[in-house]
Amino acid sequence: MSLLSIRNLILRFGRFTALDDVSFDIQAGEIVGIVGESGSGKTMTALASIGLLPDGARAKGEVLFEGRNLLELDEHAIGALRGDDIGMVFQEPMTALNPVKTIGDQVAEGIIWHTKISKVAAREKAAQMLERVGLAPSQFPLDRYPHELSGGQRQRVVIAIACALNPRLLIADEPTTALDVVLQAQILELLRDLAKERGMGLMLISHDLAVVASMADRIVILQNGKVVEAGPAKQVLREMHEPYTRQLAKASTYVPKRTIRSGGAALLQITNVCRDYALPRTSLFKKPGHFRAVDDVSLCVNEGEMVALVGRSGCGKSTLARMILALHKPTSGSIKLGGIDINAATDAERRAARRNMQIVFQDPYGSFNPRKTVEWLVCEPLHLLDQPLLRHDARQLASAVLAQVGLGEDVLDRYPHQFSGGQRQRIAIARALITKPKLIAADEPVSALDVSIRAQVLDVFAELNANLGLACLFITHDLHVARAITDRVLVMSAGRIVEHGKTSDVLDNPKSDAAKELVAAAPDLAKILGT
Amino acid sequence: MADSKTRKLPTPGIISLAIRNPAFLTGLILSLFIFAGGLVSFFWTPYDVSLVTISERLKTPSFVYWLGTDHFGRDILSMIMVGARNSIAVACVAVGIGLLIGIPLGCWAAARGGLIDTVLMRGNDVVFAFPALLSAVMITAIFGPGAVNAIIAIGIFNIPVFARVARAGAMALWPRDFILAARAAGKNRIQITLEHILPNMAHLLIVQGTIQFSLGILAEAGLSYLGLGAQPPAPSWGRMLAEAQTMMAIGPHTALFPGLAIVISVLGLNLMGDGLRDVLDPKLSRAK
Repeated sequence: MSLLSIRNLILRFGRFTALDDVSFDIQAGEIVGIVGESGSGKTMTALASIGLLPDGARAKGEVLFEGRNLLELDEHAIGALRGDDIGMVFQEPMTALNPVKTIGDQVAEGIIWHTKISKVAAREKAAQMLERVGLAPSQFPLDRYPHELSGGQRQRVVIAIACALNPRLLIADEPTTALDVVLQAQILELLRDLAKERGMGLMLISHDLAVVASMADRIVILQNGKVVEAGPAKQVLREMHEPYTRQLAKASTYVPKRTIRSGGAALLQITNVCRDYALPRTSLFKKPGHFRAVDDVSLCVNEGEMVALVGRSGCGKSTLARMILALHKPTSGSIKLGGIDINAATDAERRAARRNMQIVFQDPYGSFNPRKTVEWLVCEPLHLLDQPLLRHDARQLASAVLAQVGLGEDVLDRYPHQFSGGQRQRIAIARALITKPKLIAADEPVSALDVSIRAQVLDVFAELNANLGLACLFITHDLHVARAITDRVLVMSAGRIVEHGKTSDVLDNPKSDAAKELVAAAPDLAKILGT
Repeated sequence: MADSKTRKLPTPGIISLAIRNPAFLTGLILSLFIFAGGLVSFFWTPYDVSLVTISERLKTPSFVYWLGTDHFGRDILSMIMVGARNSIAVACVAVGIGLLIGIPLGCWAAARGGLIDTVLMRGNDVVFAFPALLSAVMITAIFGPGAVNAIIAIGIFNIPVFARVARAGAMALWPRDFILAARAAGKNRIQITLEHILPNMAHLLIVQGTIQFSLGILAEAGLSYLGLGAQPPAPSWGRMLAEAQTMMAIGPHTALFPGLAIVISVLGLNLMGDGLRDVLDPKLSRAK
């Protein structure tokens, strides 16, 4: 008998069908990867498997856990299974933990609830579990609070909670999406080891084909709530019978066509830039200490050049980008754009400098004021012009830049919530283009997007580079993106630039430890499949 | 286009959502009832409120006097209708003072941070530390009783409330990416506050406004109960209650109806506020 067996599961919300005839099995000790783009029904599959379907969902079919149909069990019976026999790991470690409870209590809580053992014994067990996930109590006492831990450490706590009672099935919904590649590799390894050593079934949900390929024994590919293809992971991904599987694989290893431009004049010159943040005051009489987020960074971006700035989260990449855009002031050092020091410039000079550089943010949902129309939002940077444009001219300009990113004039009067993530990211690029900048700083511009949309957005950047000679500073932790689209790469670690050079040279033969770590951790579909 | 499938459905308008919210609808009907009474009193009241007919004193509700008469023989319904004007006017202006001074202060504190924020907010705390009604008593005691002084007294205590709400709302918006984008577009803090911050926290302020409005009505009733609000012969709910106090044994209706008027308007406004909060701020509404 299979551990989990989903048979012909149909899930509807009103007239909308979220899952359409989904069937697959998970055996004990087996890792099954569920892959699909947003809206494909991955999360609904997970929620159905733990009996947590949202209200208003009507389910047909069977979800058999060790032969018992979860869809027919009452809340009490499912509650006894949940946490005890079925554990769950969520995507966002920041919100999955209770911020006012210590990590020891949070791990012990489920143990006490399900086994009714004493608090002391439960804490003992919790300590063992935390040690197993790599948080030894000698280093990470049980009375730490979640905010005292980093993202990767928090995700380990979430895994400890989920695995504390030796569940027979663990469901991990995008467990590493919020983490950088190095942490991702560590967490995946932990999950794999736990599954193998405890004979636990693992349902690994991910949008990343390479992650699933490196982990899963079997793979289920979902599209619009339907199973497109299922089978042994390596075989499915090598043979790729279904066009959708091919499309996904192609999109996730997509490299846009680029015409390499010869280097122009120096556009952005950063010399010895540092940035300190004050730490909280520890005593009334001592000066507060400071944390150096960016430490003595010097770099240069030439006109028309695509440069990647790669590094783990928290290494100072985003702080550097904000200083380049004069949103933060450096503590020391100079940032020159086209020869003008943006921090020593007059107001008029700074406006000119700002016209020449714009930013595209990571999260296409947070980067627009939800109460303004697309026209208003795209035209916002026109504020930087010395002479304001007439409304009619501004609108024409807006539709011209929207056309450059592949959107029609009809979007001008609509609101951001009416667009998908990929379309919003195009609108964000259009907004950055409207002042005809020479440089765009893009802070993880594709990491929140589905792979096929990611490919389209990368295309947009490649075209803009080829057609307009636009220089780009790509800030990313995704080496695939860096490799696909940039000429040069700078590797940042702990606020410093530790390595730089041609993208292919650095990524093929990393020399610094930071670069080696990134390259080793990055999942690579081609390498995993041995092609 | 491949993306178009994931596009969200058009959201129904705020107004239709609000009307479908039972709390808001009940509150709206109750408040409109009181408002309508106040409005109608400008053109018509069943009797003249200043008409003293001793022979008709302390009549119980009947078809002649719908809500009965007080100890001077004045019609209670007419007095409640005219008193509504007073309560609404005082509450309106008091909330207005709070909005006009409190919101700019809160936005300024959030936009500048640092010393300005600290000084403004500690000043806020000082005002908060005085019990509002007692301080209002003090102000009216110094400057003399009257509707205008009551308005000022109540208004002053609305300032820190709105300043705090505005600051908290603005602080949550400032680190957002779209604000950074506006800064990258060279906009200054005032422009960003007007274009991005205020529209995105309007819902917080509207909800707070309705709640402060009901508190204003309550405070006005309290002040005029103490004889520090609108002066005779202008009728006000609070003074009607005060005058009815000695008549409770022989004419309980003289206290009952002004009391009900206060309860209905405060309840109505609070229900409206709660309903609006559910509609405008879906994060707070209970998952159904």
